[in-house]
Amino acid sequence: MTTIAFPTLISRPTSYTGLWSWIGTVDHKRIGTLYGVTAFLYFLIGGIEALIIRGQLRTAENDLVSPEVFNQLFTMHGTTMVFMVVMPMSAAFFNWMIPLMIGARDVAFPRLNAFSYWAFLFGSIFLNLSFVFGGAPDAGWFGYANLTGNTYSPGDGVTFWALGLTILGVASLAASFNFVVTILNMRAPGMGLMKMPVFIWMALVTSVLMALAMPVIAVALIQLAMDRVLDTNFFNPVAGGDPVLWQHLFWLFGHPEVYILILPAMGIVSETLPVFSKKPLFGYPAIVLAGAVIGFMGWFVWSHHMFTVGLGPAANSAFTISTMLIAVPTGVKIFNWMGTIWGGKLHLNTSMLFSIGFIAMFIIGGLSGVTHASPPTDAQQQDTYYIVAHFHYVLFGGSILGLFAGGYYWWPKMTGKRLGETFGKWHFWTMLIGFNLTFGPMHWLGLNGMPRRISTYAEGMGWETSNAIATVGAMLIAVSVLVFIINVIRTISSKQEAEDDPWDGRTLEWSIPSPPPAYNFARIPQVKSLDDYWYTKHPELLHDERGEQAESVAPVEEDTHGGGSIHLPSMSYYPFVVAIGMSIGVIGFMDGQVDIPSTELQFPWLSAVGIVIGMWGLLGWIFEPVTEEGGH
Amino acid sequence: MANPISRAWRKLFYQDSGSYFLLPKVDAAYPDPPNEGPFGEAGPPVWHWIDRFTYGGKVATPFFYTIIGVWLALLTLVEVYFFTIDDFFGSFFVTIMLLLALLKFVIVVAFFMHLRFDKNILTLVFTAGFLIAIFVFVIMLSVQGQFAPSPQIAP
Amino acid sequence: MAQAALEQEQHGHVADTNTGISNRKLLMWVFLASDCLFFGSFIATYLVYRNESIVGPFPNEILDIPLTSVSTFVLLMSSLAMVLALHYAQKSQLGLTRFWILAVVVLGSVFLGFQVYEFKTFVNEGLTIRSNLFGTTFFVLTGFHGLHVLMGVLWLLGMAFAHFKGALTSRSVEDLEMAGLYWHFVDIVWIIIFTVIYLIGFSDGEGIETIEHAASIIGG
Repeated sequence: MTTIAFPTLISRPTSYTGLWSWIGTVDHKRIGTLYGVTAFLYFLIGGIEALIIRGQLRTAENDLVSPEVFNQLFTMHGTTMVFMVVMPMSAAFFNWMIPLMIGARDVAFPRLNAFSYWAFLFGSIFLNLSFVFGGAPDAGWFGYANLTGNTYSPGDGVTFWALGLTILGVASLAASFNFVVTILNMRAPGMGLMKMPVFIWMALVTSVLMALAMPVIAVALIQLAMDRVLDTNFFNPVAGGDPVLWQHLFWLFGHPEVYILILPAMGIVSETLPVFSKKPLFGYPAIVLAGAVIGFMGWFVWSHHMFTVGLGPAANSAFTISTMLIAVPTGVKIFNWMGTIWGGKLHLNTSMLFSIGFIAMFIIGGLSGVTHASPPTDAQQQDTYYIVAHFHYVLFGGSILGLFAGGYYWWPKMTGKRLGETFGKWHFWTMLIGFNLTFGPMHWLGLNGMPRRISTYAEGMGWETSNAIATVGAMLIAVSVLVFIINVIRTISSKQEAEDDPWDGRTLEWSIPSPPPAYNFARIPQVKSLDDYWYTKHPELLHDERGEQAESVAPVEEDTHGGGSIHLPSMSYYPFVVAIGMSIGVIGFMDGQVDIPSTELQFPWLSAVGIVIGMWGLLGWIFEPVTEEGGH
Repeated sequence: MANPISRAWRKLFYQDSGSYFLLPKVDAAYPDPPNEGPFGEAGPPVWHWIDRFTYGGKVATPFFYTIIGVWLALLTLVEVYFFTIDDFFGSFFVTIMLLLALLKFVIVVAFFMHLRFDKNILTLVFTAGFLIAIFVFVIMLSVQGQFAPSPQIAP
Repeated sequence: MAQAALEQEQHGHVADTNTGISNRKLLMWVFLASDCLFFGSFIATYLVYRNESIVGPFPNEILDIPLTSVSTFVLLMSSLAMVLALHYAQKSQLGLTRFWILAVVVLGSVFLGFQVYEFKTFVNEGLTIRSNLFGTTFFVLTGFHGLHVLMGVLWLLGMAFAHFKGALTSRSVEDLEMAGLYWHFVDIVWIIIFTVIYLIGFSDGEGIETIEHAASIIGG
């Protein structure tokens, strides 16, 4: 390979322990752990923001927090939960499980993988620093123009939001490219696309959606940032700008985004249900096709978020039809999951409980969602708590419960220990009851007219009881998360060791030790069918479940490059450097104006520093070989 | 010919595929007509001319690429010439411009970017992104009233 | 498949991945698909605001079609040079490869020069990024395109001088192919931008409509 002598200031990390090993890691398992821990910490932060919101809304005319702070809280709660909890937690599972389930040793571009994580970390830290530096963004997680313009949102909050989300968008984009190439190119021999686990299919659809949707919001955020910093006219009505354009661009991203949020959880549930029902997944081709169709049709429904904006009856009708149609593949998946459970030998452990809870809660959320699909009913529901109820049922009851199901399912694979079942069941039931207590009443609160995003409400509206119940439910959710944390701490400090395959799993990741060695597979497996590992363990079931005959197993070649050790990509700190450089460069784009619109950047030198650091990191990255000589 | 669109097309229209849209052959010994498919040999003959340079084991030569470059330059000249003609096409002007741009786009993508000769998965990946972009932005523009007739000046 | 055999013959290798395409080539195509959405959003923004500027300067007063036609031609020829560079790289002729890569760099820089000249002229005539909708959307769209061209030029400069240390390996030819794909994409985006902004941009007497539009806002 090219051996340009690019000056290295610090030697390349080689030790696998210590802080440098984490900063320089390119191992998908470690990066997955980093994503998971960071996402969980943001889950706690977003949850605290939610608790304060619920505390403020508990009674009428409360003054726990001022309206200005309340606006910041609900904006940051939404932004945190969507971009810093659900997406990175899904990325954590993708990172951990995609190579293990397709029989690969790592992802296609390990350093790009590391870059995605560091960019996410620095972007999210930057976004949360807004609390300290002059106030968090306060214009809603969807930042409608021109509320977000300089006239109505002076101060730095919204600029933090626009720039921070741009960094997060770049991180997601890089990750999505990585996963698409990994899934298409690095499957084990014999694993055709229709023999992949459903989780991998959902990961593929999610990654394609991310790759195509993130550029749209990047454009919208760049336009917003330019409007605020450079005084351009994208959303400036005085110059003829159209605020509805922002809504189009945002929801063109936003609707595929919600499928990005839910499809990983659907994939996880499609993995846990067969294992814990001891039955193959019902209708594998239908579930795969439904997932792909959801991903495709999700591009044509975005204006159902804009029914009350005044697009006209033609546009509204078109989007009504497309929105109602997209409920069909989702229904297909739900029936297939029920068909999987039906007649199976159910093991109702915590992971299974979360999976079944996912299906139940997602059905409720989907039903309320279908009622929004019609503009006349949506006209009453829009901007009320009914919508809040809908999306929390699908996002919390859907994504979060699904992610917890995956956490309990794959914990033994990742750490070699099983999470406690007693605490797990307490966690599940308190979370389920608390969640329903919180968001159930919001349905009728919304239909009774309580608007969204209000910091307080008058007495005598009839909303106090439901709000009080919701606040109690929120505290119960907090208790359940505490139970989970205690469960994790007890498990980590315990001395138990789970077997490599505690659940008698069906997919390839259970065929290797728990936790997996650095190289994952000593021998790349030869895959013959769907759920190949299951039929390797139970060849007698091949005919009963799949109607196939067992074939004689061809001997698998050693994949050790001619009698040597397995080559793994060496650690590198350049992804960290490029991520820092990019983030600093973006920070320098802040313009620090408070009241008087100025068109100067406050810290142009910061941008220059960031660009220099980023370029140094990029060049170092390009010129270093993937694997150092002598590396192993 | 392995991609699903070709297979579906063949299944629908070709004589020997037992499709529903053609009558079944009455005589097994009846020879197949030379014109297969709805366009038969009437398709763009330029593909055969191009294929003579590129398929059949011959690799695309610098001469071939230069010819493509000349075509692109010619198309640009044509575009600019059409632009200078006032009102020659009326309301079809935009359509013709877009068609010419699309033609140049396809030529560069297919030949300069080698997509015609690469594996179909790459065509699938790129076309998916491109088509989704076209669809959603056309829909957005129509919702925003960009395809409405322009307002006339009041007398 | 005949295609695979042809590819084998043309490139001399088929990658040992599931699709037969190397990871990096597939990565570049996925990136280009997502870049379609990126530029598509800016182009759509431009189209939404076409004919909507309230104050001038307006496109029909300020756009210089002959000049931009020349720069379009230059960029198209740079694409031709790029594909020739790749051709000679695949034929393992390092000298000709370097020559044609530098040709791409020169032509791309000429294009950038035209862009800079155009921007300067427009600013002198009163069209800035914040003067009206046309200024905002035009400068941001063509500005981002110009940034992409600049990054391509820098990449190719690095390729010409630093990449091929003496020998053309299959891996370095593949890298050049990736750079080529990026460069051609930048070219086709310009084809679309040129058509949309310059040729279609003001075919229906824009100035009159926007005055009418402004009058209706002020009057009604």
